Amino acid sequence: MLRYVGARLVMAVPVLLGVTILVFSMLYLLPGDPVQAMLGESATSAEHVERLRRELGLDDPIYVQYARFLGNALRGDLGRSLVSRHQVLDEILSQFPATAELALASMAIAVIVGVTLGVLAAIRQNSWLDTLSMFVALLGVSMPGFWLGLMLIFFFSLRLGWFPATGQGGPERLILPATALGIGAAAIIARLTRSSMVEVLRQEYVTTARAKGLAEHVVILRHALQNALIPVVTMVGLQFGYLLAGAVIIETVFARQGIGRLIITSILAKDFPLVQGAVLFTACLYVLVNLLVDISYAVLDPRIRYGAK
Amino acid sequence: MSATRITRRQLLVIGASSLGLLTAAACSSPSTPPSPTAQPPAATQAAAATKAPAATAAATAAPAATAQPAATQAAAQPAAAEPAPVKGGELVYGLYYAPDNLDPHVAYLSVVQNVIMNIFEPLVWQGPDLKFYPGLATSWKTSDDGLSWTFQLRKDVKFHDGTPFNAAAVKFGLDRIADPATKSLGAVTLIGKYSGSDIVDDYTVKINFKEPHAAFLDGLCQGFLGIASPTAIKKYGQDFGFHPVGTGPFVFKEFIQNDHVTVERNPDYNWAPSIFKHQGPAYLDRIVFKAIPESAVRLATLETGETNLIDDVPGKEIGRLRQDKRFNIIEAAMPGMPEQWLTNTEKAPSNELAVRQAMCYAIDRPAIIKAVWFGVSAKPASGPLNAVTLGYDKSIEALYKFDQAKAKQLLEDAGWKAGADGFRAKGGVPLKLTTMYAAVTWLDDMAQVLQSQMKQVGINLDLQKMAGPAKNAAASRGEHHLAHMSGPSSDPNMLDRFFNSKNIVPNTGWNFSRFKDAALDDALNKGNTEMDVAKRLQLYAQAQQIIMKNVLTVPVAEGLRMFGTRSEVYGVRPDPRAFYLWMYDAFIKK
Repeated sequence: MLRYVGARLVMAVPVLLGVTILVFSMLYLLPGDPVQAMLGESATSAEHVERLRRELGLDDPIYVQYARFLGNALRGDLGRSLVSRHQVLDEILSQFPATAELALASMAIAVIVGVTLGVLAAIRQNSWLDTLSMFVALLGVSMPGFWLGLMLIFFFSLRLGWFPATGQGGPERLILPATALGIGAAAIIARLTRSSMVEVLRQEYVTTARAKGLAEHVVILRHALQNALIPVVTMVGLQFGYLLAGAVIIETVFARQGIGRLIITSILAKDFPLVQGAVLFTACLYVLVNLLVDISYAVLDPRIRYGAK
Repeated sequence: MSATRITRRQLLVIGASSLGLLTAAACSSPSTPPSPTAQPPAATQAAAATKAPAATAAATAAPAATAQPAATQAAAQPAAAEPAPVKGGELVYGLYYAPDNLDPHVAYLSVVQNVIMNIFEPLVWQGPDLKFYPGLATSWKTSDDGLSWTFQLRKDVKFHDGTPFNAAAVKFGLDRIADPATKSLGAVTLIGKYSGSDIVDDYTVKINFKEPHAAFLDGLCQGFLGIASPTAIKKYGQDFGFHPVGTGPFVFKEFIQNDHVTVERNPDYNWAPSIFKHQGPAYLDRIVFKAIPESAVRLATLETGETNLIDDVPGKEIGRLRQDKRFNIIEAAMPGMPEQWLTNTEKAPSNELAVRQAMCYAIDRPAIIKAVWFGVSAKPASGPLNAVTLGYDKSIEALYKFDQAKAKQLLEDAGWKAGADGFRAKGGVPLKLTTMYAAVTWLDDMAQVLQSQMKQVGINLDLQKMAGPAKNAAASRGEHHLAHMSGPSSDPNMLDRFFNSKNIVPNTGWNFSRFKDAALDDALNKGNTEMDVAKRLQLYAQAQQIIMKNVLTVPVAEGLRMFGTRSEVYGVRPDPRAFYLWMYDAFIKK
């Protein structure tokens, strides 16, 4: 197991390296001169633009800039934001708790809603409950997060006045954004849980369990669900990545702090070190989550043993 | 600024829309009136500047300049009569974009000024009449050669950290801005060719330039040149932007990035400039600036009461809010360049004057304003500057009136004959113009309405929406016939960047018209350094006439910002730049 984890961590290195190269080149492939784009017409003269380019170290060849970035990053120094002048790492860490809170809350909503709907649909297969659950799931996966966010604000903040529309702090400010963000994942989890459950319920051991006279809820929850959840766990891991991406939008809509908001503002400001740092951080997080998902298989399913030949 | 604005809006669209974000979250409010709005970061006003440098401007009361602006200035309209001010209360202001650094000497986002103008104060203020009034400086004069400015300073002012405001603080700030190590983004564009300051005595400072900087006062009255405590700067260094210390009516309290900034009343404040309505400490206990980028959400917070003042109300909502007694709208006309289409005078067929003139006659501006901005009071534009800009030349308004027959006649006379499809051609060459703009919803709307209007006189617009920076780069290389541009600026010297032929520079220049004219260049060059206000404005009037007689731009609509307040908020007034609101006189009375 340890060997497996070690190998996975080593494999993450080229992934992260690739991410940094991609992000670095994307910033430069964007049309327009970066310094000019940064200053807009406020740069009164070409002299100005050149001066700033020098000051920001953007006059070096791109590979020199990349090497410098990488060298510093390896020493744990992601540089300073061009705009706020804060340490990039400090900025990321100051925004991360808000994103973590949002992602975890929406994941909780996704799992609770998704698994419940999925199980209900599976045990009442082809009933109205099944149709309704799957319709709700279809809706959930079809609604763009920003639109859903606006609708939630419209109904629950503006019309009903139940929750504040923006900001963070306290569950009342978390529930709307977490719902907007989690509902898409809930829909996917619901559909997957349903199909997985339907399959498991047809297996012989379930029939055996029922034949033993076990109560139906024990059969469903202890015997069937535990096995049906294995593919669902993978999906939860994958969805976590989407949640991080979705946070970019939801954090903006709900005017919350977070990594997503940080990425948006830093891209707009062409704050290269901050964009780099935030993307690298997010990539690390993604790799880590995937690793955790893989490890969790072993826990859920004793038949899976990594590294054993 | 403006380009910046577009740029970023654009970027946002690139960054976000792939995710489905859309213009929405973006910052902007697509549907808001022209310019102003939304833009994220508009940056610093560049050299904006100013007015009146008159030579010895004097002080006190009304400043110097005598020159008057042709403008009518930004109108705030107080709804109903204002009650007697009351002290106390908290104002929550929903900003369209998050401030990211409150160090005036470093920051460049225009939204930052909303916050820092409460914490810091400028040497000089610009009043609603566009004249300059004493701030931390009581009077000023320029030397005969225009190379230095001497400011007399107030002697009764203290920074929030208790240290005294004096000539050394002014010098320290300017030197810091000029120092490359500071990596100033905004302020450095406002100080011209600054060469150093001399402390004449504790309360007299002489500021020197390598060449005359006519727009200096305009720069000085912006937040980016606000005076900061040297002691605090030395103490906090690069983190000063998160511990700002100035002399203003509000003291910095808290800055949570991407969430809010809080400032509280400065109880010791007793040096308000005369442009304000009262003296002594501010009325409000506290102002909380919350960044709420999505315009629909920002409006929702105003309606729920989470905020009681917001930036940039979407144009389509203005009508509804005006009917609702719970809200007021504050309008602020923006100085600077209108929404306009810069014409390429080098590339056929827009190199023909008749073609360019025909477009100016064929455009029905009120129809565009109605279609794109819901008829919300953005005014039709007549030239390269908005009417509230210092030095606006009213004479150009008479040049082109909507007249389709005249447009057609001009084209006929120039040999452009209509074909079966209604579009004109000459010698087999179609009258087709490549029209470039940033892919933003409302710009797209504007381009499409323009396209249909031009079609009515036989001009075929080939609409090309692009990423903002790509549009700017392509237009700087002259690949367009028409390219969209707009941008706020409080000084007419912005024209220099867009119309001086020295700024025809592939990939980085802003001169998209590519018109080389000695008289125009001369007027723009001299405008940067002419210290006599009247003469200077005359130069810009000439420039505007040359620009419009040669149709280097097809202007559409002037910029207008619309702030929304709850009706319990009184006394908020927009700065003449429309970039930020004056909060010192604001109070809340339910």
